[in-house]
Parts: sequence; C-alpha cells; structure tokens
Amino acid sequence: MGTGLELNDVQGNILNGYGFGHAVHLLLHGETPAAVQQCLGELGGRVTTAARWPEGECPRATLNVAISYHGFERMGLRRPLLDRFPEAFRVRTRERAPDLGDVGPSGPEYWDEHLGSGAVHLVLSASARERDDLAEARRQLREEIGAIPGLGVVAEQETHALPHRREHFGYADGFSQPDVEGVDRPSSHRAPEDSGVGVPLPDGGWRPVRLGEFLLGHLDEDGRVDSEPDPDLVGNGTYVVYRKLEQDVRLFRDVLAEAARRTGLPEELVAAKVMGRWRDGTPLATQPARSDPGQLDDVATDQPGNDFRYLPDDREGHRCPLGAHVRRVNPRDALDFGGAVRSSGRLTARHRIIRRGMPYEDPPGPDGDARRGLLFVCYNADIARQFETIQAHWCNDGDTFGLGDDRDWFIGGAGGSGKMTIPTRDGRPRFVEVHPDLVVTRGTEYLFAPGMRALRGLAEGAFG
Amino acid sequence: MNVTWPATPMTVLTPVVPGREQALRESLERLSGLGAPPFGRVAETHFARWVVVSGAPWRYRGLPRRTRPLRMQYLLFTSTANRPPEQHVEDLRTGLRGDADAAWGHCVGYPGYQQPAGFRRYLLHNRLPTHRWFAAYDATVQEVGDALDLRRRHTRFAVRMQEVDDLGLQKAFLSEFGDAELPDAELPDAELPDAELPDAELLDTELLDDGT
Repeated sequence: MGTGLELNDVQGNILNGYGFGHAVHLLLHGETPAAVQQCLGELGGRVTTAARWPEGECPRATLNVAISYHGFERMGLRRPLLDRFPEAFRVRTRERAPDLGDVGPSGPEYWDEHLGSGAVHLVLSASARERDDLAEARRQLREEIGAIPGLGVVAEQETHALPHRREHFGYADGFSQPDVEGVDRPSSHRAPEDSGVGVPLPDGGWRPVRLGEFLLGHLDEDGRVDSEPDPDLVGNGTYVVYRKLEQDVRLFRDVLAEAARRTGLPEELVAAKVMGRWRDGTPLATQPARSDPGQLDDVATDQPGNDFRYLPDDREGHRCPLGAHVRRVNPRDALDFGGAVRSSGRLTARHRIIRRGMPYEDPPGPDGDARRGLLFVCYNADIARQFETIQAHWCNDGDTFGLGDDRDWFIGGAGGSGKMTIPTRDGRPRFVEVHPDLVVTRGTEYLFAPGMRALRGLAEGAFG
Repeated sequence: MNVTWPATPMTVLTPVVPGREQALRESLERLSGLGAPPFGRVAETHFARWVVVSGAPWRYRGLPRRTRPLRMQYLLFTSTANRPPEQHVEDLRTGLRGDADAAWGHCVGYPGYQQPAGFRRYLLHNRLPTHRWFAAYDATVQEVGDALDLRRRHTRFAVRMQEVDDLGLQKAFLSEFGDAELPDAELPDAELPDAELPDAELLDTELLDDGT
C-alpha cells in the first residue's frame, strides 16, 4: 500500500463528515472472544464506508465501528500484534490522564464509570439526519446486540447538533478540517475563500495534508508509511479519540462578563480573543475588530473563512493572541521559531487531527442541572504525536508559543499561570483569568476504526 | 549567577539481576506514582531519572527491523546537580533512602543505602563518563525556584491590577515589590552597543536645546 485511496475500504465519517445532526454511540463489552467476533461478523456488512453516495441516495442512518485495545485483546488477537500497537493505545486512558492534564476536577475519579477502564471493547456509532431515524437505528442495533450471547451495552451516548452549528458556549464549530490529499471535499468547501485548511507553503499557497497523517498504510508528512503492527490489520484504518468534555455554560457567561469588566474590552471581543474566532466563526486573523461586537448575528457565517496565516503580520498576536484556542490547536505557519524555520507549516502538519465531535446533553444529575458539553471525537494516525501533542504540549503548556506557563483558556485544565494574555497595540496587555472548571473531562477512550477488509478479517479470527 | 558548585552531570549504568526486571519496573512505577517525587528530596538536584534499558518492546518506527537483543537489562540513572559527584552520591543516599533501594536494589551487587561506603563505591564504580550534556540553568535550584516564585507573584499582580491607572499601578507595584532589590538603572545604558550611541547623543542634544 502507500498509494491510492480505496474509499470502499475506509469507514465513513473519517475523511468526509456525514453532516448529520444526530448520533448515538453504543459502548459494548464482550464477555468472550466469540461475542466480539460475532458482533463484527453480523454488523460488519452494514458498516458505512467512505464511498461517495450516489446522487439522491443518502442513507437514513449510518453505522460505524471502532475497537479498543482491550477489545482487540478480548477477541484474541495474537500477542505479538497486541504488543506492537503504540503505547498510547495500549495503556488505559485513566493512566494517561495526568499527562493530558486530566487532574483535579477533570481527574479519572470524576469520569463516567465505564470510560478508560478497559471495560469498553467496541463502540458502535449510528448517525442520522432525523431524530426518528436515529431512534430506529438504535432500536435495531439494541435488538441485534441483545441477541448475541455474552455481548452487552455498558453505556450509551447521544449527541445532537445545536442550531446554527454552535457548541454550548455559542461558538460556531466544526468547519475547519484538514484538507487531505486525494480526498474530494464537498463542493461547498471548494470555494476559494475556504482554502487554508491544508499545509501553508512558503510561496503563499496551500497544499493538502498527506493521507498517512490520518489513515495508516499511506505516506505521511515524514515520507513514511506506518503499518504497525500488521498492514492487513491497520491499513486504511485510523485511531479514534473519544473524549467527553463537560462545559459549564453558566460559569462561562459569568467569567466572560467579569473578564470584560476587568479588561475594559467588549464582552464579545473577549470571547473572540480567547477563542481566536468571533462566535460566528469569523477568524480574528482576518477581522480583528468589528464596529459593534455586541450585535453579532446569531447565525454562523456560511463560510467563516480559513484562508489566513499568522505570519508575518501577526507575530505578536495583536490580532489573534498567541494563546488563543484556535492558534494553539492549529498554529498554521506560526511555529517558525523566530524565523529559523522557513517551512513552518510542515511542523504543524505533523500534528493535525480530523474532528467529528458533536454537543451532548445528559439527563440532570442529583443537583437537578443538566450536564452538557462536547463529545470530542477525532481521527489521527498517531495518537501520541497528534492528539496528545496538541492537548498536552500545545494546550496544557505555553512554552511552544513563548507563553511560559499560560495554558489554553478553555481546555488547559488546572495549574499553569492561571491567566491568558491578550496583547494589545495600545499599551498594556490584558489578562483573562483561567477557570479550570469551565471545561472538565468526563472520560476518554482510545479506539481504532479498521478498514473494511480488516473488519472482515477480525470477524473471521484472521489475526488470532 | 551560580556561586556554588557548577551544575554537574552524572550517569550511572547498573546491570539488573536476571529475573528481577519486572519487579524493578513495578518499583519504578510505584515511585512515579508518589505525590512528591523522591528526587525532590535530593539536595541541589535540577534533574534526575531512572530508565530501564531493555531494547524496544515493540517495533518503533524508524528502528531497524533486526536488532541485537541485550544479554542483560540495565538501569540507567542520569542527573544534574550543583554538587561535586562524591557529594551528590551522598545526597542521593541520604535523600532517597529506601527509595534508592527500591530501584538499585534490583541491580547486581548493590549494597543498600544503609552502607555509606558501599553505596558510594557502587555508584562511582558504575559511573559512566558524560561527554556531552546541557544544563538548562546557570543557577542553583534555590535561585530557579525563587525566580519562578517571583514570576508567579508578578503574574498575579498583573492580573489583579489591570484596572488601576498608571499612578495607582506604580504605587501598588512599589508596595508589592518595593522590598525587592531593583537593578541598577544605569546598567542597561552601559551595556548598549556602540551603534546605539549616536542616538543617545542626539537625544541629549535635543534635550539641551529644549532647555535653552
């Protein structure tokens, strides 16, 4: 492998999102190898692939499957294969929590009981455009799972898109995804104003990110092909990060108002500065000021704009702060180490992820408050190099950006300097205090979404 | 500026008793899980770690496919401290105490921390020369800690005082940090490169003209 993209062998929703607004994830535990294999055998044929749907033949619901390390172990994968999976995938996420900043209110003791414990072997994800279709898909899946001896659902997680593509804090979300080599994006994303999602080139242009950054068995940005532990097992597959992030909306509103008062900046501008985009999605890099930031349209702009760079015009972060969320998680060309690295975009390209998260709202807890947040789901070829680097080194630390102990204002967790710095041209920088309770982790699972051939092989016990 | 012993590296490689490798790993795991890292009790130590050298447990990308297995596994210890090596070894003994035994106790010939002379001989005997190394700070651990504390104080102050006007800020700053030793105000000028001097002279001339 290494060349060519067989969309029929790749699971759907990875390279291009379905664009459906409703999804449910069924987290399964198998008591025996046979239970897990039978599940893959019976449902594997219905798994939705990345092949483009014929015009007018959009399915009512889709199905995808991902397997945890403990799932592979439970279905009896050969030990030499198991041992050669990357360490990040093999170790329980509860043990990796401190390295990801999941301490204090985000610590595993507060996680959903089943997440990161090794109890989850398979995750079946169904998506649908309509709620009724999702309910039907879930009912059917439940029935089929119930008929497999030794297989049980340990938890369910529903997610539903909010109006105007917003997440719970009110930011438009999900429109800035990597442009991937060999992948046709929907025509709406091919508009000139939507370039800027690949790798920034020194000549001012952009190119797509190499496929191997997201699918194993293909050339990555380093010119290598990762096929460990076995090309037949991982080819056209990808690692999945499933992370439940709870958001405190009331606290967010309070701290935003307080930050506006203390900094003397309009509330909407503070909201934009901590994110790096206005709440309608417009980047600060292209629109650093608005005549009336208090009167933003409630509707996300159709094309929020991705065609921008941070250098050379915004090296100091006067438009988009160096510590703004979007600048941390995708620094684009900004990691040039003071001009020492010319092709700085290539550094960032080794740490990109494809995000497919969606908001969730769980039933009220004992205090009567509904618990809501973002079910963050991302795809990458190397969890440690991509997702974990972004979370642990770019969000939970400021060194990479010359920010010392400053952490990401949203997901940087507890510790650090306790503030975010907003540089300004008119004198003193402004400081916004960090509130670690704003977004807390409620659990993480690392999974692998195999290609279709590998799924069939797993169902037949080919890797045992 | 460091006025004590300069930062000095130490590297010690000791063979693990065959059959005790897993116990050593579990021991190190337990030590890593402790709230306060044991090396924090060793005087003047900037950095220290133990690493089990065992060959790659899984085929890491970029590693040659055929690797020659090690005959034994080894425990690698590396550190940087503002101490002469002999003193650092004694600091390790008195600082780590039982935790030293939990790690090196799985290695061939280790006498235990309660044998001062034996402990010293063991570590110095198994010491390897460190040919190239880098110390992050030309300062003692205490000085680094003090600088970080000062930075934290500055940060808290800056966040707290951003609503205050210039005069209020100056007053609050002197009240908060007035006891700190301020740098000599003339020092920066004295360090300016020659190329800066014409501007400085021009500035002086303009001021003089204004005055007349």
